[in-house]
Amino acid sequence: MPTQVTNYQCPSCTGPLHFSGETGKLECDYCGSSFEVAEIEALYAERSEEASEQAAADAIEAEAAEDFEEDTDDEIEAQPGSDWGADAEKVRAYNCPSCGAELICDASTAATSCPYCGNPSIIPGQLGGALKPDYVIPFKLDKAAAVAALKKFYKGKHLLPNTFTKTNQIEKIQGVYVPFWLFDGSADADAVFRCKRVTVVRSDDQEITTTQHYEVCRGGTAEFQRIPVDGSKKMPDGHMDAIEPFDYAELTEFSTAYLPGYLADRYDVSAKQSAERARRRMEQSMMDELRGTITGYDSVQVESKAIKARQSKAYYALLPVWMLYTEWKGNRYLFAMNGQTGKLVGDLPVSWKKFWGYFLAIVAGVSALLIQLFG
Amino acid sequence: MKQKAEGVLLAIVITVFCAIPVLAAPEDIQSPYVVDNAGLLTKQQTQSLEQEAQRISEQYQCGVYIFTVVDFETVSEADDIYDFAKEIYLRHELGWGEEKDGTLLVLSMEERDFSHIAYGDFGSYAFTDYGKKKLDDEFLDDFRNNDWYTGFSDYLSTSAEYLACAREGKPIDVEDESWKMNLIFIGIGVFIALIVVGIFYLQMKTAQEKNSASGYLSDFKLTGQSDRYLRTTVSRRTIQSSGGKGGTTVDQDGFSGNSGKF
Repeated sequence: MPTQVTNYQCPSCTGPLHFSGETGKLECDYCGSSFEVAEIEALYAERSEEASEQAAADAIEAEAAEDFEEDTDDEIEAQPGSDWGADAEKVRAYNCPSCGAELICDASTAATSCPYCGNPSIIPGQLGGALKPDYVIPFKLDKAAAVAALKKFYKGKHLLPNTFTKTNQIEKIQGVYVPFWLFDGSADADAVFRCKRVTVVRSDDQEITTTQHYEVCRGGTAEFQRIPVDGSKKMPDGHMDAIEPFDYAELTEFSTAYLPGYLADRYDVSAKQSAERARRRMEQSMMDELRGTITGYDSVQVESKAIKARQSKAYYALLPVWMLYTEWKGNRYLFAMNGQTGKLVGDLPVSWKKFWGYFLAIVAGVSALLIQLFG
Repeated sequence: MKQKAEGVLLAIVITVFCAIPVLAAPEDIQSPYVVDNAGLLTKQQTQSLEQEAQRISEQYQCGVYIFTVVDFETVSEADDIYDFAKEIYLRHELGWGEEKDGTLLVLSMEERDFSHIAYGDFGSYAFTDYGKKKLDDEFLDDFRNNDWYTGFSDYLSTSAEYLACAREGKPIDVEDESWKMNLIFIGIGVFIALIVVGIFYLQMKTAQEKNSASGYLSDFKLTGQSDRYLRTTVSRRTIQSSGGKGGTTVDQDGFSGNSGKF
């Protein structure tokens, strides 16, 4: 059933608005006018109220029409086409308010652009009420910066196949607001370590090794703030972890006015499901901190540990990421760039011909040099 | 009559003194292969060793000699037992053939010094530095126990084995470990190559999950610490000495050898 969609349009010329990270304002693609986020928010708050009233009226009318059809059209044949079936839960259908085209989106899509008229489209139902994010970090780096960063990322990669960069459609890079859970928490840890100090003394024909054994105990507490865990099944955890950290100083109260021009998803992994990852990271950090307080030993091994990690709060935030999916020789490769700091990570294909070529060349070169010098 | 008797007595005394091996000058060698001026052996033992030394020398065309003295410092101005051994070898023109190939074992009893030398192309070839040291182990234990005949017999029999190996072109020497060294160099090359291509590979795969949250940690407090000593353990390992590169080190006089105490 199509649902009301919002296009943020320029109050001056009704052209599509997009959020500019550089200026921090919404800018018109047609007339170049720019508007403060708060200004557009206030304008669309009125329209959103009107839209909700209209949606309610539409719903009543539609129900009445169904009843009528059931009473009078028992003999009318079913419309051609099949039911969505199980796929109905995975997709949503919307109408673009600019051109009227029907948009079929993923169930978690919250912001997109119409493929027919190009207008950015916000789907408020995805980010409203209980689903409204607490925070957002607006995009700071634009598409040009993302493209330039990706081209630079390719350079200096000795194992990259020569044909990859030629076929890689770098301009298809997209800005996505990725849903994250930010966890506050605390942890207590106690651990026992087995440590050794080793001294070796050599005489003419003997090597004497003296090892002193110690039992080392450490205990500690720590507070954690805003550990990010991505709340989207679509986003690989490795990529989302690798583009950390985000600068939380720029974390701002959420508004849909930041979304135009970018894609956005709402979460489909709950806070409860994400909390386990945050807990594991807290536990590992505690062990690292305790281990860091042990000095003066040649070897340190954990004998036992007891760690309690608790989360106190969870915040729902949309964080900016530039993403590019690319296919090459039947495999998919994903690049992700932090839309705030510019940190770029990704999987690149490896030319195994180059890999073995370098390997054999280095083996031959080093061996020959050593044999020449010391053989 | 009385004068004639005194003259005969004096001649006898002089002859007896001259016959005492302790005061014998190095020129008074009783036999060409075994000279026992220190009186360590019986006559039969000396003869037995002499025959064996002659047989070996003739068979392998390389002289094998034994020389003992009470105190080399009283009969020579050599600085040490090694120089004394060289002096003996040259003075008595020891050695077989034009090259004067041979090996000589000298014992000086006063300070219990010994020297084992080799000379000539074939002598140096057959008795390498490693070989001489290994051969010395065969008889030094016997000499430390004052078992002279057994020690000299071991010296002769082992020298015969070394000469036999040398005649077959395989003198007793350190194992040729050059192939092992080349293998080690290739191993180092593989190790370095793995590190370099490993770094190249990691540059291609930068998306890694994080295991810790150190960047989000604040206010860490250490609430307890203790370091308790448990015990000390000691282990010992004998270091195997490497044989070095092998071959024979020859000095400016053409000799190779070693010396020491027994």
